[in-house]
Amino acid sequence: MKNTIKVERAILNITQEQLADKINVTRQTINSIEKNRYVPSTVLALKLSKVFNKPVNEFFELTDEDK
Amino acid sequence: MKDQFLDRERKSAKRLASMQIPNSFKKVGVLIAAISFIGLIANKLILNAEEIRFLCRHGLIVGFLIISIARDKQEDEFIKDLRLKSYFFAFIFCVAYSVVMPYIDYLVDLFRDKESVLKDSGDFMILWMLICVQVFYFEYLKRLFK
Repeated sequence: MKNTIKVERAILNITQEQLADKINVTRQTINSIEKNRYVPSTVLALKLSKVFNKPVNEFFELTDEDK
Repeated sequence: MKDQFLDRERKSAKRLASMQIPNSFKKVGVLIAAISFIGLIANKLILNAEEIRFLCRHGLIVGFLIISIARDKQEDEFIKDLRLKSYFFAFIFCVAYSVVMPYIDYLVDLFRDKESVLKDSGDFMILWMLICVQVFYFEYLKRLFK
């Protein structure tokens, strides 16, 4: 799974810390998701979707490894 | 009726599996572990009493258990995932340790020309390794993913 959270964050002009505060997680969690080291739960993905105001599949994408 | 029973069982199993205590207890755990550790060393150097050794060993395990089940300051799903990984690693490590260690001890004694006897690692050692590996591996994972 790859994602464009970093880009979406840049569009909103917010830091990892600020994004983490918005969805009640740690900065570590955002950092790990951005670096594709952690795949978030559906709940967290939907919270991100609400912040970015976009559907989940616009910033999360399946890779060949997931198929 | 059966569904209600299963539902209740699922709920209690879920509650039991996610049993945690507030973060403030972590300090209490550290304090108990520190006092027990100092007690163990002091007992070894001064008194050498079996009862104190027994109490301090249990104190050490209880202290680490409190640290282990105390919530992080911000316990989110990523931290929970790391915690789960640390329990998994500690479990595998300790089973391997308890199986392999008696043979290593036996071989070491054999080469040192001591009387070699195959014996178990002991309850305390296995519990201590389990809880200690979990706590330190969890901290290691948190630092690794900082």
